[in-house]
Amino acid sequence: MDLTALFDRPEQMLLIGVLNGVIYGLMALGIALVYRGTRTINFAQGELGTLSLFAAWWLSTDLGLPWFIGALGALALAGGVGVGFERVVVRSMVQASRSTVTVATIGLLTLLLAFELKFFGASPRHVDAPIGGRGIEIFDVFVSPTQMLSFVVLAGSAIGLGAALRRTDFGLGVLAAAQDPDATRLVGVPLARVTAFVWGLGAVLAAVAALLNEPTIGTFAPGFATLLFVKAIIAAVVGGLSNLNGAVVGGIVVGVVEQAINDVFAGAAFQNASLVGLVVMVLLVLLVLPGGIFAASRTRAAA
Amino acid sequence: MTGRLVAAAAALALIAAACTGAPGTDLAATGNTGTTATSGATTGDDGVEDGTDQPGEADTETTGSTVATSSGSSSGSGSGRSGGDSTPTTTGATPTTSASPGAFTSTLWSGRDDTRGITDDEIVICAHAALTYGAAFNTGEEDLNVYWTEINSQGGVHGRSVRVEYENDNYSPDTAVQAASACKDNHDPFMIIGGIGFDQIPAVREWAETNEVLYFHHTATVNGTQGKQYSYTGLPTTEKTGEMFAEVVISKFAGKRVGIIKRASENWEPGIVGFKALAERHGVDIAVERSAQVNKGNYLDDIVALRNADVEVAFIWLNALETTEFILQAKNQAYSPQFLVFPFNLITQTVGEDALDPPLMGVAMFNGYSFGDRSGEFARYADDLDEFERQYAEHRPSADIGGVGGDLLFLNWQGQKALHKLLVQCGPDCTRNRFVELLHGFKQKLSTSVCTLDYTRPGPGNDKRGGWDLSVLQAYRAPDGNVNFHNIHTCVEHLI
Repeated sequence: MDLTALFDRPEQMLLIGVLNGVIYGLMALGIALVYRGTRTINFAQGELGTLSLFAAWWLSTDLGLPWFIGALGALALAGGVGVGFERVVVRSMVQASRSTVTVATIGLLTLLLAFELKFFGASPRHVDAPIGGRGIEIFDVFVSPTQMLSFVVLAGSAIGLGAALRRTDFGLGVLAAAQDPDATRLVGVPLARVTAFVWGLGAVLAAVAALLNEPTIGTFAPGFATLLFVKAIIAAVVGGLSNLNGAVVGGIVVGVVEQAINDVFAGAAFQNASLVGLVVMVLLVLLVLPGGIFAASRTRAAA
Repeated sequence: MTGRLVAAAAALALIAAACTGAPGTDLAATGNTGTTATSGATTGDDGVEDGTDQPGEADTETTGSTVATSSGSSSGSGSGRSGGDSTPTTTGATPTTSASPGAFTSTLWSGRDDTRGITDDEIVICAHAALTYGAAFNTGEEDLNVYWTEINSQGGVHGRSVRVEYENDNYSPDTAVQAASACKDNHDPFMIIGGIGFDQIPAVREWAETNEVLYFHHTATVNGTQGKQYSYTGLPTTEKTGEMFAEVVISKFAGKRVGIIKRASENWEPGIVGFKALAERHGVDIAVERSAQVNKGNYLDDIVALRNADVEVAFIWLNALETTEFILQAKNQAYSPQFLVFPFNLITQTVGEDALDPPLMGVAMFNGYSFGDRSGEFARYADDLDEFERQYAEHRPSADIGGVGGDLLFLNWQGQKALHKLLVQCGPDCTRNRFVELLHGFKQKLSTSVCTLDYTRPGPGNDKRGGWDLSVLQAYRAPDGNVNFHNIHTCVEHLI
């Protein structure tokens, strides 16, 4: 453990933390959306992203189609699986507790892993970046065009989703459906459409995060997004779990804290130091701010 | 309230994930599916004596006290393309000079336990290997069994067919123990063999001791083997492998600044300790050393740290997929030091052209494989390469031996062949005790593609460790257009 590492090149540490945190935030956004709309944690969120990468790879690399066709196919597949899961599984569990539905998402995760291994195998694959080139150099770190695009997509998604949920009847229906499904149905909100939308869009966000993350990592294989999911759910919990802005900020916080832990423990054979550190952070946040880091501002606003 | 409960549940799940490793986080380890207990390295001959071995040079090192060479069964029989007969000619027949137990007498098993897994008709072997999560090399059970299919088609070993069963260890220590246990319960094998896995093998080694099961495993640390009675390996230790990496640095990159990126694991660390001890004794400047968690994915911080320290030689002590990601990300950061890696074709074929700029280099306890190539060092074990390719063409034509898993299949094949030779030498009355007695005092080169097995060295635990030689590999453009690894030093114990 070397605390002086924090002061070695702090600007690099912050930059790398933010670059990673943006991806965590994107994945966390989908988790928070599904939780906000259904009170369910989707444990298959990460693997939905990986599945979408296989679709993108198949279309753009195997069939040689343009990148955007592959990306569209990936988004469509992810959305389709999300909606399909809602139709086939979630809807038939309408009387079940939300915990039971959460367990069902673990089933989906296992199913997706098995599907990927069966039909694509375990060898690493690669999907091209949406924009080529090395990017710009900041603090002796090359920030790729894909990473820059990730910023834009994250900001756009968070702002757009937030506005849509607050300012449209359909969005308000999403919020209401989670609070009181029966009352929502009684006032004429198409509940089935609302929940299908939430599951579908959540899956699409997973695909977006995976598509924007893969060019940075360089390869993907079944289980590619498992660790990404773990960090994203930490981000979502830190941000308040159902708070979309919280998920975004939580992602950045997780990215920066993780980077600080990585640097401090860089020389130590401490397995999973950053994960352990992040879990400790989550526990501290839950102890001090049980509703996440945005809870204090909400409380003040309510007062 | 509900939200708080869910948040707490999520936190608990995360604690579990952090403590045990989330499902799938061990994806794609180095060579995972390999089941090669003795898969050792390689070819040619040892290079220990004079380091000037030439293709075709024989190395019949049957100096061992106990083991005479079985006729026609390799033992270093010429390594040139038309070198000695390394094909399993002894299959199905008693070798003319089978091994005779030496002074050592094993009483580890008695009665029925001594003959478990071996009947008049069959020998059952069970392997724990990463068949799913870790299987980055895309090889399945059917791909791994080709050698035994061939042997069984020739009558087996002393008239016994050999059946190899697999239990999936997911490339995880916990599941490796479960897999070993399933091996014992479901298949009652003669022995359990352990596929690649620095973290898996120590766990199963402990299990084998308490369950009194013969365990023949891939490379692992010296630490923890002392006092063990049931575990054997035919490969160099983790520590020795680390030292050989240091010898590569000392002999080929003298005066360069070195950086280390390593797996944060007590089972991997001894390799780094060995590397550093030798490197520092020779004045190597180790500028930076960083740990990475399993399947970290994004190595930007490590790459930047290495570049900040002006590292010219980067020693990557990670599994194959992690290494691939690291190199790809480094290239994206316009950073191209000399990379030292575990040399799998998975890495070179995935990285592509960048693997040649500069050519990746590595140390392995196996020999390189490049489909169809018999040039250079490949000539030393061309007979085994020919046999390997013929067997796959005949028994498993669908296996992509020219692809990313080809070298792993060859590695596995070498291990199976060495094990086959040992079983043949164990004789028609082979039992577990007799097999163990065979290994004690054993020194022999079992095939052109397998380095000398030597259990004769003095020192604690050395009667359980038979591997001392390693090979140094370098990336090159293969005749089929792929970027693969080939040997530049074959079966050498030291470079300096």
